[in-house]
Parts: sequence; C-alpha cells; structure tokens
Amino acid sequence: MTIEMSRLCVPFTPLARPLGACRVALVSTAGVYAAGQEPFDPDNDVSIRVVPSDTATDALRVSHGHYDHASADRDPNVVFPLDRLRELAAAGEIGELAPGAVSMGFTQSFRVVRDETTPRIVDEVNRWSVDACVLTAG
Amino acid sequence: MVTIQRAIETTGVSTILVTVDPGQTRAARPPRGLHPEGFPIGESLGRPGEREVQRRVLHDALSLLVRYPEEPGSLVTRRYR
Repeated sequence: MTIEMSRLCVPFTPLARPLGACRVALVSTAGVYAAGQEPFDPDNDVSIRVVPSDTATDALRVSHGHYDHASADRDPNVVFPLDRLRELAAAGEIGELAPGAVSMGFTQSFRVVRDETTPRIVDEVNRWSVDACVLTAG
Repeated sequence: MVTIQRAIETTGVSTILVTVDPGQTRAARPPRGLHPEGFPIGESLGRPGEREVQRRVLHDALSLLVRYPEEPGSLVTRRYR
C-alpha cells in the first residue's frame, strides 16, 4: 500500500492505549543485522532484515558505509537500543516488544525505498499489530 | 527515514524518531521527533556503554508518544549532558 501525502500534511496517530500496555517495535536504518543474516551492502541496499527481539547483543553486527559505526560496533544500543527496550519492557514501562525489529542499511535509491521497501516495512510492523514504533537512523 | 516513519504513522501506529540530524529531519516533517542536542551521527542514543543516557533518551522518546508538546511536523530538542 502506498499513500501519497503532501509534505505540508503531517500524519498523526494518537497512542491507542497506555504505554504500559503497548506493543512497541524498533525500526532502524543504521545497518544493524543479526549474525547469520546476510550483511547489508554498505554502499547501497534497499532490502530489510527482521532482527528477532531476543537476539543477543553480542550477535548484532553493523554494515553501513555512510556513517562512522565504530561506536555501534562496540555497543549497538547507541543506534539500535534493543537492550534498553528489553529493560523498559521488563520494568513494565512498555507492554512488550514486537517479536522483531525492522532494520535497513544505506541507500540512495529513494524511489525504490518509497515504492517497495517502505510498504514492506509497514506490512511487517502491521503484521505484529504494534501500537507504537521507535525509529532510529545511523 | 521520515518517509518510513510517516508511512507507518499513516496506518494507525504512533511513531517517534530519534534524530541527530535535525535540519534534514525537520525538513521532512516527522509526526514526532526527539533531537538529543549535540549527539553526533552514529550515537543517536548516547555513547557506547552509557546505559543511563541511552535509557533516558529512550524513556523521553516513549513519553513523547503519550504527550507531544510541539506541533506534529516539528522536533523536540533535549539536552542529556
């Protein structure tokens, strides 16, 4: 599904329920993937990876050629805060994490992102019936 | 990134973007955005091992889903250090 909307219009969905009852997904363009998955092409990649939300932090990898990911290599939470989200879920601040986080890397193929990748990401988070998404870039 | 965010928001999901590139993000008119002031690209939530800063940024991001003090399409800037 593709919906075209003027930049002047801003879509806005109020949160449906208290945070403590929300299912939350992480969506990131920082090039993070799980060990065993195919790495992103660091210079251009329009594909996505679904990183299981229970992936061990030391099994997260970064492949992205257009920002300095030395910090993320040491601690993926600086761009992909899976540990912090797991802690907030355990503390009850959010209801639960979605089963996966949606991840992509670097691309300048904006038309493909708009027409193909974005609808795939939207389908992924809707399949999980999430209430909210936290988005991060590289 | 904001293209993806806006598309998700359009399907009835509340979204918050943590951004360290406020100029570009503002121009793209995100539904909601948190800009941790002074954080470099590649450290959107803080430095490696800086768990408490990372937690506070994420806590603030989630809180902005509950109540957004700005007009949608603009950013909220906070200082963490």
